[in-house]
Amino acid sequence: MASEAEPILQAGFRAIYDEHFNFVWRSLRRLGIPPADVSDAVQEVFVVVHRRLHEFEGRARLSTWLYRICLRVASDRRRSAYVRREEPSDVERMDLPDSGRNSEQKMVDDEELALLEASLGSLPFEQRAVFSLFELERISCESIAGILEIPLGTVYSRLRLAREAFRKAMLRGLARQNRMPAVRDQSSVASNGRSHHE
Amino acid sequence: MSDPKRWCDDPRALADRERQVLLADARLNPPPQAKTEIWAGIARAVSAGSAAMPDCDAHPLDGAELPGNGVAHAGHGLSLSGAVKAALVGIGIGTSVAVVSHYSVQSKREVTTTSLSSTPSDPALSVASSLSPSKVVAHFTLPDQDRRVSDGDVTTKSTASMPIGEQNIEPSPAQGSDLSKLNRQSAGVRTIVGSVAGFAPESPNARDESQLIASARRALRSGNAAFSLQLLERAESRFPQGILVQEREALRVESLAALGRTDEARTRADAFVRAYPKSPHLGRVSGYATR
Repeated sequence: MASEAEPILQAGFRAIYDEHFNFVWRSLRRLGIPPADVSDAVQEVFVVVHRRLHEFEGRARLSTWLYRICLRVASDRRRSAYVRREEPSDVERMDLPDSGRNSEQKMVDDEELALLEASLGSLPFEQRAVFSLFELERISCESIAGILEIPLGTVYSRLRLAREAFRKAMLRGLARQNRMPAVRDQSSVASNGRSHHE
Repeated sequence: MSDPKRWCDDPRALADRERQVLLADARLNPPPQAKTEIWAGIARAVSAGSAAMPDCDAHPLDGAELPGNGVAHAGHGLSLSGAVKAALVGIGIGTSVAVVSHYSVQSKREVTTTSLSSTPSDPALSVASSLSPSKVVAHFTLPDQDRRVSDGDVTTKSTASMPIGEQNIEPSPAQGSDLSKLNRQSAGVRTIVGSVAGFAPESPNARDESQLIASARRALRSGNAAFSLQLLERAESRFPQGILVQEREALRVESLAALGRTDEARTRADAFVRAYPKSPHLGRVSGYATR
């Protein structure tokens, strides 16, 4: 890389960071990076971005490029130490935000978020990417095909499978919540197993 | 075939409560302070990386004796830093890659030995003050990627199953790993490489210098010692007090020797041994020195 390009690169990098920080953050979260690790993972992504920025051509596909890096980071972490956290559909074991547990609304919010994450977590990684891009990021299937470099038909079939699995996990979680009091402390959530509760 | 209606847009797709679960996605956004904090982390990682690391092939510290290596302990057990992981990730895009891990043990040991006065919980804290920039850099030189692949101490990352493109990315070794680890451990370690504190290195010189040195090394390793020597002389004229002086001089000795200019090589080697008796490059250089 020519050193004269450095300042431009730096400025461009900052702009990219500002514009896409939230996108990268939520993409990683949706791909299963838990709250405790997401800062680290976001940093990873942008360090890669910084290093490879000069290779990137064409702004139109910037978010695509970023998302691919997110996929790589998330997938890499899953395969290493983070695999053990992938116990999907265990709402009890999800990382819940642990601040301010006193209001009932906060509790409901936390439950919904935990359920979302657990349901996403029940999906195989590829389906999870398709599902979050389509349902949450609201990207068209055609664009998703481009991002993931898979045929459009594959996007559709993954989306269908993902929806089935997601719904199943979500309903399971909701059913479990129904069996429990609406307001309770976290320890009762943690101790509520599936088996001895019926 | 057209896209199905999104669940959130389809009144019949989900019950209210189910929709609320999907809408909880809005709460996956980062907390307000995260953006600033992570930027600072990136800045440290990138600054450390670009200032300390040649972005191409460095070579192993052949037979390097690490000064004071009897007290190595605190640095062990550190896992690969975020920057290394990031580098692996980046390299892994569309390629297979091997990245060396053994250097980190050496460098951690060196850092540890220089931080005897630090608190046990954070050995990195005193590093900045006790190590000169050139010393840090010299000890953090990366091994040569290609060469290490055939050795035992290699961490291999294969291409993952995700269909990710960017096929024409040229692999390059991980950069700045240990430095960034240290930097991330303590915000107070900003001065670890010169005065790198902000996002951009204080000057781009460190990078230019490391590129020159790395090119020289590549030239030498590929048998073009004359070109290597030219590059080293250029590096010297541009960065007479550069942070990679030891590396440069060690390469010069090797280049001179490779060209058969043994007298000059010996003179230079003697000077090197006198000037840097504890250099990690000593193992490479001392063989050419007067016995």
